[in-house]
Amino acid sequence: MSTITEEEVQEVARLVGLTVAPEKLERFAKGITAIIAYMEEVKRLPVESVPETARLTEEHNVWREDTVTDSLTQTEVFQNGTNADGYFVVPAVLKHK
Amino acid sequence: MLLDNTITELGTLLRSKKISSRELVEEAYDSIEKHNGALSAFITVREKKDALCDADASDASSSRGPLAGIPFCLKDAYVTKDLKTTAGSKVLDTFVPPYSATVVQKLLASGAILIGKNNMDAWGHGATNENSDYGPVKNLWDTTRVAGGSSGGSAAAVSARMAAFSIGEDTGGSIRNPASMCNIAGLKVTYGRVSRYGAIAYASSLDTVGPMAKSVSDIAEILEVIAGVDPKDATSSRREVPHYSTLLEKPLSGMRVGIPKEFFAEGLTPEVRDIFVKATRMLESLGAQTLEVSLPSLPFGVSIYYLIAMSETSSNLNRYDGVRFGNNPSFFGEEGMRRIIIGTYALKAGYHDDLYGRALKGRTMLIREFDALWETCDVLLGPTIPTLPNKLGDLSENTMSAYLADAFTAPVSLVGSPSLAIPAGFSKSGLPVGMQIIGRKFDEATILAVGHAYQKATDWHKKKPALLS
Repeated sequence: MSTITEEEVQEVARLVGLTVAPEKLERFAKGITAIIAYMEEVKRLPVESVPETARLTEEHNVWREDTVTDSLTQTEVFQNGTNADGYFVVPAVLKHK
Repeated sequence: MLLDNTITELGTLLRSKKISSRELVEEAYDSIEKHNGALSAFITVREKKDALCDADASDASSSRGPLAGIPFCLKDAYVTKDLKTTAGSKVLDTFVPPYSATVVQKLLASGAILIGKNNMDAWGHGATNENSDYGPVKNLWDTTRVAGGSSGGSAAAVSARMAAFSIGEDTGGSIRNPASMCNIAGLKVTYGRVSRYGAIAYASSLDTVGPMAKSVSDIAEILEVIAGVDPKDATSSRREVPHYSTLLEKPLSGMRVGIPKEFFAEGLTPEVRDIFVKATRMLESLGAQTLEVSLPSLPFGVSIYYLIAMSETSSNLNRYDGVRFGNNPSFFGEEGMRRIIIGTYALKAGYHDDLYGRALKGRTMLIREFDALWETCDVLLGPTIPTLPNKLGDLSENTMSAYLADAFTAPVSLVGSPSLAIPAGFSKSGLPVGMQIIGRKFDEATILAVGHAYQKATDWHKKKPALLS
């Protein structure tokens, strides 16, 4: 049975852009360990030769005509974000000295 | 109350001008004023004057489809153009969508009147509606208890006559669970039966869009309007949409009803079991043939479901970076963070095959087990939830027991089958208990017919809570 440490929780969170507040870390780690411990029961399933099912839809490769159709206007697109000359403002990823 | 009537009855009254849509909308807002403070069924209520304006336009119009002039609401998981949409999370507290979901467009085109957006567990993560960033939804049968989730607000609104119907969303039980806790009907459709375009995604291989209303006949009317292929949802089915409302009167005699024995496991509350057994006897008296069947992998359903759902949600929720819309990720609530972290972990190199990969294989096993049952059964029957509606706060310490509420609903979601939850009785303390009628994929017509037959012979669904007197 795996134990998820506080460091692991913070590391996984960092990978997806989240931060767990320090005072919550212990509780999160304990809770997540318990949940994963329960879900690890899937390791007992006799599924060695069983294929995976990732999709339930019967449809596949649904195409449409390569024609221009209606889209949102620039005004609509920017109504919830910051517009700088038609560009979205994003937090800096690269830091310069 | 006018909103005690079925949609069919209301349609007749509206077309013969015995009542007006304005009166229905007034009644809905009246109920909201009286009870929404106590229940928190809504996150956003439209300005009354706007809804009345729509109602007046409906009353003046000559075109009258079955949903014309009928007040409805939407789980706040459906984007509505120019009307705030939050998915129950403060991350989207500032989000005003520039477009509407397909299901919304279809309902507005049918003439139904939008009242507001219902409270829900944030991102659909929950089975009690206690994970909403906007406060929990209370159960109107006992306001110290939960309304169920994640479409708790939708269930509370319909049962409190704040609208004639709501559109909920079911990924692992989120329509069926609150429907059964609030004594209404709720349909989880076959995966792909109703377009998911504009539905804020929780788990893309599991999410379904479905109606919640007071009766099975209402469900059929709504389903006819919202089902069908949508070019904007590549997973939506191209199969024809039956006229469900004309197929309800199929007689039950000879209907083969399978009851998986794995439902009668340790965690099933005796009172729930007893009510369920009585319901099966009633169906037998109406001509159904019940038979015991087996779904050996059912006990693994919760684990298989959560591994897949959490993995998918960790991917889907990645887009909420606060750049194009909404607040930054520091606004995520605890449950959302927990599921994203667990989902990411289950997909990590080194763990992926053992966790997510095995869950996908377990899903195949469940699909095969369900498929085998359709040789000898027309429908399957089971309780919706193992327990009675819990008290607010009861499950907050132990997340795993909260997840076990999905033990009976999640396996059906994993295989993609439709399932109709309807009222089946009340506990000694007066709490609603429901059951689910599960069908073959795309066979909503049969499960609706079984549910309709049951509702003609019983009146659980007509009962109103003391709060409404």
